[in-house]
Amino acid sequence: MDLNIPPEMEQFRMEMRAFIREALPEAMAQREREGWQPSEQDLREWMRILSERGWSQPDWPIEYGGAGWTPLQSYIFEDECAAANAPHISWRAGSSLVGPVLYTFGSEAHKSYYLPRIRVGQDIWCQGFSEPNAGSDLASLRTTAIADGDDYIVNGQKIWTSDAHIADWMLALVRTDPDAKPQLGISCVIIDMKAPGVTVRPITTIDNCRHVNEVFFDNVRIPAKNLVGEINKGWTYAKFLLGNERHSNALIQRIKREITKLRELAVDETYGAIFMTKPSFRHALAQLEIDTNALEWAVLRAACAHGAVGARDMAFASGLKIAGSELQQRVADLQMNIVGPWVRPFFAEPHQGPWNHALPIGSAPDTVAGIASKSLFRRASTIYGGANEIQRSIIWRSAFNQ
Amino acid sequence: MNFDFSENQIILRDGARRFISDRYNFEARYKRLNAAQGSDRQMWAQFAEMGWLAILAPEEAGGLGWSITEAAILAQEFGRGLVVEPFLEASVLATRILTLAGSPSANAILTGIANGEQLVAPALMEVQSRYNLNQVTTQVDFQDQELLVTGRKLLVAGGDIADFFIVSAIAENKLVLVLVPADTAGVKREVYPALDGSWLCDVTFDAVRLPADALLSDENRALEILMQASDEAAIVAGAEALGCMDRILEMTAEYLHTRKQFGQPLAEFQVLQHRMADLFVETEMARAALHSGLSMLCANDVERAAAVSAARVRIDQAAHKIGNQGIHLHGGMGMTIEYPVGHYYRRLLVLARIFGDTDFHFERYSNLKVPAI
Repeated sequence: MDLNIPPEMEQFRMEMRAFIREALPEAMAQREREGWQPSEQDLREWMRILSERGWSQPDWPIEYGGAGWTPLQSYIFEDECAAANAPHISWRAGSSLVGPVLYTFGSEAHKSYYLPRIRVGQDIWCQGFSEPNAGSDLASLRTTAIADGDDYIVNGQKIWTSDAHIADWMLALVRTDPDAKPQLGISCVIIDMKAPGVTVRPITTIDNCRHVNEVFFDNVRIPAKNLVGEINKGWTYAKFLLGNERHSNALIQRIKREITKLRELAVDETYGAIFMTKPSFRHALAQLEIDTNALEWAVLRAACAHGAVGARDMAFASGLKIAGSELQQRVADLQMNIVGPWVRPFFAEPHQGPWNHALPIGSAPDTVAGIASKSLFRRASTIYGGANEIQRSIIWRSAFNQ
Repeated sequence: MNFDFSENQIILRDGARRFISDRYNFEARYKRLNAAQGSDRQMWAQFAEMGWLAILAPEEAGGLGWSITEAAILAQEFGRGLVVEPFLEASVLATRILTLAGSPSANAILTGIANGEQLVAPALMEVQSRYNLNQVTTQVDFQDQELLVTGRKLLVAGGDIADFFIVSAIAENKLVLVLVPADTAGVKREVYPALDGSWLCDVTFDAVRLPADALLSDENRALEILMQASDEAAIVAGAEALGCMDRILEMTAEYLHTRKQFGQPLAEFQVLQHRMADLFVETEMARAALHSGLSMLCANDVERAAAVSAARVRIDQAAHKIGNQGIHLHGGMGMTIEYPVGHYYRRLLVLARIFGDTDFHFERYSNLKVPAI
């Protein structure tokens, strides 16, 4: 065990900071800074910009376009991206889910066709896992793919699908053997979002934004070559992904960025600049930072872990998800304490939807809207990616019930 | 950066674990402590034989010259084993104070600490000082070529079998450190048992006469030395607390699997499974806080103090929850003196109150990092 951060890492951090400052378009940073989701254009463009340096998928193996960095370097890069308010592309399905599944289980054709297109921002992917009756209980999913000659015919429905409205492809879990035990009859397939029979319907979330969708499949025909890996092995691949997601669900770099923003708000004249004089606020901020610091070191430990993912690693990853999601909500809650009475006017997301009116409204500070919107959306963090209760059950099983 | 134990660290950990299961298991410990009339110098000698007291001492003083990380790894095992020997005070703190002081008189005694021949107990706290190392009234007067020490120190761990005390005192309005042989005329100890099964004493220094070279440090550095050594010891104490927490979780999980109520093991109840999951997260966050503290021990004074305090707050808060729930989940069994979990709770109470407590560290972190404006 050697816990010293090598001095050359500070140099690396400065290089990344300088690069991002130069490369990140101000409009993108502005949207992120205000608390809004990146636009489709932002996602594609930032990916393209990073790909020119070979940094759009730093954690992928080098032969598929990874940067060949150490885990600590990747961590620092993500830290700097978050601090500079870059769009959060590493978290989207293409980077964190589709890439690892395809380069681990996909065919040569999958790898050579899809991976480069993800890397340069040409294709956006979505993840088709959850269904109306298969949320936390994913194994009860019912969307079917029935073999028909050289094709599969897909019927069913996915829900809570992030980015489906902008995605080119979906990586979906579908039932290919209706008679097998729930976990054993599931396969992993690639679906063209422009194929006939695919319908995407928006779900407007409580922040009035469009993050997620319903996706319907009505006799959607996909070629057999779109099967990823072996038939009926989809559950195994999904579990592999869980293990692969050792730490990114914690969103630690984003939490740190939001704490920086919280500190700025605390001394912001628009809100009275009184919060650093309040013992209750200082106490809450200190505790938040103390807890965030611990989470950061837990994430670093997960990031530096290597070798096979054991039961304890699974428990640890679930622990990071719980701790991270709770901290994301806490920092948002403290920001909302500063917003105070200005929470009352209704602000709509300015970049999408029919509510497109100018900000600010009335006399409210113009930072209110994004803070409120983000705080509303953060309610989802304890639900998605396996609700925190599912994580607790995983922890019990993995750490205490072996 | 690497979170895996090195080969040496594994040997250190496994050696300690074996020693504890062979010679320091709960039953043997319980019997030994019940019969004890004071600290156990023979056990201390065995610790020396294991090389544990030499970990931090510099090589030129006959030590191994290892880092606080190794001391923390060992302390974690001591936490698991409910070790009552004054390792934190008479080994970690004493060795670090003397090493940082670096004076010839300090160097001379480091060898004795490392091989176990000399037991040196830091005697720093006074009635008004609580955790503030500079709140000291013990007085040093210079008389001819001699020092005259007068004052009273409290809660001195290992003091009953100490050969020397490291005493903080005021000389000409400045904090100094003095090495006082325990058998000097005017040194008086009052020994009493401690909550965690160890022994403490109060030490009175009544015009104790010492040669000038008993002065350990240049007078401008005493506080700096004490604060650094105490921060390092605070982190090692955190490691020991983590060892206690790990063991509590293991034994609690075992209990939940064994104990049956309503026709099924307690482990079948989801409310208890999820409680255990939350305690697991607490423990892992405490472990992470420990790592963060360890990584910052070489930083400048302000960054080190803030990082150590942040780590200690997080560890102590976790310890409080795990100690408390450890007893609770054992039901009535957890309340009995024969059962280990309560002893872990008692040791955790102590560990969260040496080298600063949660309030002290929370305030120190806040003052450094979230100052009022």
